[in-house]
Amino acid sequence: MNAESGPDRIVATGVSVRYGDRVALQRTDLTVEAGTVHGIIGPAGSGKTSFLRTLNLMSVELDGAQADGSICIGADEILSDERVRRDPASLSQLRRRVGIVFATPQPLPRSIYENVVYGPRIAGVSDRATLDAIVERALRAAHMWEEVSDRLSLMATRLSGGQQQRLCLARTLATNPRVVLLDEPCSGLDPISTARIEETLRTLKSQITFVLVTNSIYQAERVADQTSFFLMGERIETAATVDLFARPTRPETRDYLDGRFG
Amino acid sequence: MVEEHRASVAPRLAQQVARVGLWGATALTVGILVFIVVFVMQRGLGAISWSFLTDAPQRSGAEGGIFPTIVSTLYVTLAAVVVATPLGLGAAIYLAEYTTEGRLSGIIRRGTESLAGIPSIIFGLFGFAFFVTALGMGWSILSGGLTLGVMILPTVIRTSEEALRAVPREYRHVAQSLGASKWDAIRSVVLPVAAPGVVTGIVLGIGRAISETAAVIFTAGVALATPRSPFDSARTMSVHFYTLTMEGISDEQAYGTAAVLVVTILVINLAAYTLMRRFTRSLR
Repeated sequence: MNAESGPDRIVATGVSVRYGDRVALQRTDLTVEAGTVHGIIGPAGSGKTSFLRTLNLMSVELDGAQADGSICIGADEILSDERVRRDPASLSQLRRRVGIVFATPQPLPRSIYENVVYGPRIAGVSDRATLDAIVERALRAAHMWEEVSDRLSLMATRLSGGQQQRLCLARTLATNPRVVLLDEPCSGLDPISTARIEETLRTLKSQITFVLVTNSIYQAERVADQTSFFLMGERIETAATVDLFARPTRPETRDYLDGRFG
Repeated sequence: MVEEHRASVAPRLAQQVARVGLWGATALTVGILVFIVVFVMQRGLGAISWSFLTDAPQRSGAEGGIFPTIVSTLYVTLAAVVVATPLGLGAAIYLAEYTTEGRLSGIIRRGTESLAGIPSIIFGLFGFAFFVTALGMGWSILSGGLTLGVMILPTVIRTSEEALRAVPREYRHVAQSLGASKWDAIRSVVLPVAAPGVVTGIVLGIGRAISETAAVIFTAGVALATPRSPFDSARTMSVHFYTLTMEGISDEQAYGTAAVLVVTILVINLAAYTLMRRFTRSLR
């Protein structure tokens, strides 16, 4: 969100994700261009969330997954065949650079203000004026500053679901990420909150690369520059969103878009 | 028709019986508690005066006040809490956050539970053999505090672990997704949320430690002077009560001591919960 950072390009090559014996994603290649919104659609169990959570290694660190293959974010190879990055310092750095918003709003049980500054505080920012500026900028970017600027000390859990999710987006933006992963961020949200979140993606994509897993093909159509279709742990096809919806090349994609399954 | 009638009356009757039964159990519990408190207060309040609280005992406690025993009780209990809180919380964090449920954590947990079931007099014997004799600490506040600390450890571990486990897993994921290390997440998100439960465990431990007699009599001794250092022997209020009664020194003084002890426990409980509420509010 500031001058020295910029969006990162993501290059995934031959990425497989396993949970014990269960293979969630097999040998997937995918390139996400810097400064775009990349939609990932597909039915439940298609491996889209596993892929997303591997892009910041949360699947490996927290969900007990094993990942193979290679993932480069910008110039940084976060996953390679030889090793998975596990030391706490570089994982922290990775998470600040590659933020995530979860499917259900997850505000921490503290004030709106304290939610937004959680990431910066952990990173060592303690100056009040700096934190104040971060809060205003992040909440403005998530289109909720006007709604809450006069009650930043309110418990975040008392906001509506839609407001909570926009707060979570603001909280992710507060660490100045170059990539933001969104895991079905609008499932169960009201139309206004959904519209504001989509507006945020459109406005910020010049500075942040967004990867948007969504179970709404309409949402992908509205905001994604490119869209990938995943099915049963495989990426079936990727194309510019307009082309994918108008002329899917694979029959599975056509069936899914026609609503024949999933 | 008859069947239908029975079907509609029987559940209602069962409901009534259950309600009366449960109400009775609650009333009986509260009743017993009130009876005990009233019983102690009735006999004890007469003995309590300002000088009873601030004076030293005369003639082995038959006359005078109980000031040294109040001070000793607080010291020994404080020592127990200082020992048990970091150890217990540390063990609870390890069990709840750093082990996967397996054989080792099962053994630790069962061990902890068995520790909670050991009679306090056994802890007294252990404290006497280990702290008083083997480590040469003698009858002292230190020996008593360490013994009581070990004794209340299971309570602190168990309640703290439950409190930590009750914190939603998502909070940890959120914290780590924002750049927190695992320890950062525990320190800054999990512990504040679990704090009320942890404090409850400590307060339960205080309750056990402050009123303990058997374990203390062997480890802190029965000296009636006001202790001046952690290495001095000390007599707590419950030991004083026990001595006054068992040796037939003075029933009146004994019940006065008991009344002060009961009031102290109530005050500590109230203070702990008030502090905790303020503490958790400032974190939110």
